[in-house]
Amino acid sequence: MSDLTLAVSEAGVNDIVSTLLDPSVARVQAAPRYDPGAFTVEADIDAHFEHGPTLIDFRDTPDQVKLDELDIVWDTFDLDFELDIPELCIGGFCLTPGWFGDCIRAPEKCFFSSDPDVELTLALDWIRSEVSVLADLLVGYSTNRTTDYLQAQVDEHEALEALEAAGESGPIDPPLVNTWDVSLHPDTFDIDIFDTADMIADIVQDLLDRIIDMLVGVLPDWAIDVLESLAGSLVRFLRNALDIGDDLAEWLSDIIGVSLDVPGIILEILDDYLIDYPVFRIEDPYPVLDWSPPLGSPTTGGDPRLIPVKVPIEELDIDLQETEVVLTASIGAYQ
Amino acid sequence: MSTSRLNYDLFEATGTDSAELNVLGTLIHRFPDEGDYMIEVRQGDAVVGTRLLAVSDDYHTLQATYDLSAFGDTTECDCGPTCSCEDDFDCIREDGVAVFHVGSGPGGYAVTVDPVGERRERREFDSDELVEDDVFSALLLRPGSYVAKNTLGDASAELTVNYPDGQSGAANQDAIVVTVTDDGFEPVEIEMDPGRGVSFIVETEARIVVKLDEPHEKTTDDTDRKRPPQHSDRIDITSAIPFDPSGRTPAEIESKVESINTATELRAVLLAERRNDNRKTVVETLRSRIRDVSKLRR
Repeated sequence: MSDLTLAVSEAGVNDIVSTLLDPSVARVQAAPRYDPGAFTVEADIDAHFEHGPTLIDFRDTPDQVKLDELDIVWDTFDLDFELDIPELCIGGFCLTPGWFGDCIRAPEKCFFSSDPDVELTLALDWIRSEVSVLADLLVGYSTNRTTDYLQAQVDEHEALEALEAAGESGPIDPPLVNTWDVSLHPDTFDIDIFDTADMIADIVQDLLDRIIDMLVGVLPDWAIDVLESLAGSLVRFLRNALDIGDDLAEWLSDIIGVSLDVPGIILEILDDYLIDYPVFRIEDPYPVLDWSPPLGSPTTGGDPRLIPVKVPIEELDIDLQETEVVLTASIGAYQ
Repeated sequence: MSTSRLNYDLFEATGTDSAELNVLGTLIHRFPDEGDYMIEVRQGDAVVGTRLLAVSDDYHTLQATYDLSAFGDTTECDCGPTCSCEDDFDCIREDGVAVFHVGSGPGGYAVTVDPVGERRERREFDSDELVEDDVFSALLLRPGSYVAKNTLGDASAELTVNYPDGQSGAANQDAIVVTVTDDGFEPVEIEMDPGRGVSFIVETEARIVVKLDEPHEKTTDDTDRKRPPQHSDRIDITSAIPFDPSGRTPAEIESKVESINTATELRAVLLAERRNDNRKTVVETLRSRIRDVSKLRR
């Protein structure tokens, strides 16, 4: 039998989740690195979430919450490339064919000395990424205090007063009392890092051009033509060094999506965040009467006060409907 | 930040001189007699370093190669995998050769080799005056017409280095052989691709100087390679879009949108628009533009 029923509208949950995803709180920050040998790439990412007025969509069958078209806005999305260009040398041909018995070999002439490095940053903070999440709304119980429930309430109260004295407000996080938590547990994700994938090929081409410019940009055209006639296309040379195949966009997408696993990082952070920050947190026992005003002299104030009146919640259930979520609580001590 | 190290000297040198060796030149001297020899390298009047070379049938190494730009008291020769050299001297077999070249830098090196011990009366090798069996090889990269002269005589030859028209195998081909005799160069006209060596086999006293007479430039426009206009080491949105409306006036944006002709440009402007507060202007202008185009198509 339920003793307490609470209904929260979809719009209400929308507001709560929006607050949870506020950029001041929820951020994606990481610095994954990929080092396949010939080059290394390190990402410096810092993103926040943005969304339209309607973020939440309740699904009744099955009971799930959809966070639709949650934009990932990149405050920083730098890919720092470091490339070790291998030596590019000619030589070894026969200097004296037919001169006398043995062939004297030409010494090597190297156009690039050993391991010249190129460092370039690809700034991708202008791209827009998007994630959609289908999540279950699940009830959990956080046991923050297992003994002396009365002292737990006093501790919680004093901690709140300390916060107020410091000019801040509650709740105490993590709470000093036990709580029933209703959290979004992501079930499936759909993430799209590039919404303009066809422009990525241009970016990679520019990356190649820029590296070539760094390597041989000061040379006149004839020298570059000679270099390419001897050593092959510099673009092909770089493509091999960077392991770029035919599809430029696919290469960068693979680096971001697979090698650096940026989608995985976003999903892991979002997953942890939604689980760690419940949509509803209900104190147990639940205060039906708060601390009383001071009972001493009306002029001097001060103690004593009456402690809050709280009732234990034995069970909490939720029922997700198309327009609201209904929480039903049973009062009683958990056996 | 780029720290690439390109060997610019290879492209800056436009000629070479057997008596003032630079990155384009290589000297080869054959040692027919056993013995110990002292190699001395000079740059102008300064002695760069000396090195002892032992020539004997006890050794098997054919070729000892010296990079004069790295020549000094601690020089180690590049004697190949069969080298039997020891720390303080190098060694080659009888009839082996010493190869002198310049790996990098401005060059201007001269080399002498003198016997040590009992046979000091005769200089073995002097780059100022090559003698029979010495070889001077040039590796020319700059397309153009060159003149090769023996400045100890009056012989000359014409060399033409073709402008490259694609990838060539010149760097792997044997050097072209030119003999230098009392009668002059043979052949007297040489044509080759850049990067292919030309070796002057000396049969008379010689100092070979090769100079660029007239450079050859590209005759057609290269439309395949577009070089970036700047040397920034940061690639941002300006690489992807032709136009960023940030801070532009509505009139400027309208003017720019008028010139949009491709879907990529349209998408790029829309993308750029997101990053600033000109959305209304851009979208309205685009709609207007689309309406105009629709009317024209009707």
